[in-house]
Amino acid sequence: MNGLFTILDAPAAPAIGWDDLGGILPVLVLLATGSLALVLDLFLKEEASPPVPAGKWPLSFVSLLGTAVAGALLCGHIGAAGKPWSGFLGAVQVDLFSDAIGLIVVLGAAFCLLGAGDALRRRGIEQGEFHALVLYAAASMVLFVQSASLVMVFLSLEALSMAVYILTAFQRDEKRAVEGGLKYFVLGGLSSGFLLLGLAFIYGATRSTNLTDIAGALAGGQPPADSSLLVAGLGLTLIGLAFKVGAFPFHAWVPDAYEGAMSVVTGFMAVAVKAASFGVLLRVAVLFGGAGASGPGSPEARGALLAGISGLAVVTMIFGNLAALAQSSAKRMLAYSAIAHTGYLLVGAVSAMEARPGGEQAAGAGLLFYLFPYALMSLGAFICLSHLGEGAEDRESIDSLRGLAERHPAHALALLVIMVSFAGIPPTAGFWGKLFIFREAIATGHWELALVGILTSIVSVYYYLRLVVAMYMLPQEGGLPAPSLEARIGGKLALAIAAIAVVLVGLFPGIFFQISAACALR
Amino acid sequence: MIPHLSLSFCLYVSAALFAIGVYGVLSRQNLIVILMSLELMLNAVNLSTIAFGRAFLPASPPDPSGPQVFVVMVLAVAAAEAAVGLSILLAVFRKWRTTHAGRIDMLKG
Repeated sequence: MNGLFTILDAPAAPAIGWDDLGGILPVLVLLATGSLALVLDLFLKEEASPPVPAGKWPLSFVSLLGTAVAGALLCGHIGAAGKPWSGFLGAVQVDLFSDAIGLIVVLGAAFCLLGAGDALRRRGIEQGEFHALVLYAAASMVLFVQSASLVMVFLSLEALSMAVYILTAFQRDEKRAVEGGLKYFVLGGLSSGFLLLGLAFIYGATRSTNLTDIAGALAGGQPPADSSLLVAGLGLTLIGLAFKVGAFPFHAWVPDAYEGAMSVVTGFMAVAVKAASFGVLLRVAVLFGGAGASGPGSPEARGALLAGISGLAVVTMIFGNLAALAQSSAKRMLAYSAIAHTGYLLVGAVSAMEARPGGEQAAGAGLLFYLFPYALMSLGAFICLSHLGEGAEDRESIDSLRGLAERHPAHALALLVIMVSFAGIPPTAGFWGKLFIFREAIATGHWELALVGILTSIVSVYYYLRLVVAMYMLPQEGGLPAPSLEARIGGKLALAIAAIAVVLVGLFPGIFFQISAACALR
Repeated sequence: MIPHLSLSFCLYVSAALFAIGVYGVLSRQNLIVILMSLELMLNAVNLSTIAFGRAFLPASPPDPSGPQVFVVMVLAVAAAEAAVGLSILLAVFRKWRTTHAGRIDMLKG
């Protein structure tokens, strides 16, 4: 009884108001558009049995409009150099860093939706649920990067994961798709468990669920209540996030889920899931292990995080590149290359931890810059793969690309540009991305990471150029059918934009690097 | 008077449950048992969160509701995860006619 009255007599708790909703407007736009797509689908007629070319274009149109509005809002916030804003009783924190990652997520969603029309129509599963799930996943990813409370981290991570599990298995009459979805679900669930245990330990060690409060207490020289528990919690959290980004010992789901899912979904996973998870990884790493931020508070946490992330980076770069060499399927090869790129991004995270607040280097500028060309390359490559094939059948082996240059020169050229950029050959965007990341690593004293990165990049040239050689130089084999290709305006547009953007970013990297430096964590 | 449970006892129980869950996910072949093990892991963590919250109560943080809200949220997530997991499982069973994890093996390499 007493307890009830103390609650009633307590001074008015701070409440959540309209301001809070205004702060996360891009997320709300994505959620609303997703729901709209779901309802809109009910009013669109089922297609005739020979599918009409236009298909359910209003679905794509509405959902693309949603991503455009969300992207414009995020761009506006970056352009206005908005101050960090915290809302929902400190559970959400919006700053330029979260805006920049959010922008990459929205870019991934937009490309996925633009290219998805062809893939869905070819398989006869053009349903509003697909568009809704992509938009819901994107909304959760933006919230994930914005979360400043342990509860929020877990909630948004689960929301985004579940949407992506379903997207992976979306083509549910295809054995490989449901198998990929199942493996992703089981290993994703396992990693969520580790992450949750890590968050519980962090709470147990610091007695607070608010990341900003925890970091503030540590930076103020106040040691955590239990230092070893904090280190254990951070280690488990790192394992959970390493699963999500697909770093080496925790990569088992990556090739299977990437191969099982439709190629457009794979592109979305490779870009958006990774960008959002790296956003949180970087935030956690800099909050608890940054050179200045948590200096006197917990040196053990900093040491453990530095060692863990550097170790992951080295083994991930080596494993991803070596495993990609052995693949015969182009899609699986790109999946292993995505693991390799996780390694390069982890190098960026390590150098971000060395940056001192207020110093010359902004934490994570290299990582942010790298994410942008990486997003363009992955989206372009997977959208191009999604065009190859007939009906519900995909052609994904490297051999099936033989003779593509003769039959479909535009597609071959786009894929050529993207592969050259993936390999990091100047003057493409991929070259500058690697240059900035490795330069940051050397400047912060982690030259051994840069060395491993450069050596493995040289190895990677071989498997990226294998695709190019197959397209341009090898004769078409007798047994294999001619490369066939189905693409309509949306998919072609997405591929063209990706390829042109890769070249443009490669020619003018300075502007983009300045934006990344401005948006880096402070 | 409720008998007193120490924090470390609750943490040991939670760690044991979590370890059983991890073992189940990694070693069992039946997909339904794997799903159960995933749920066990989440609930094991709930136990330690709530134990921490109870132990910190006398130290009176400004708002003691943090861990309790956390646990309620995790429960909701666990329910959603079960729904998604079972529907994926259903899709798998329709195509593969088995719930034996070892026999679902088209993706390799």
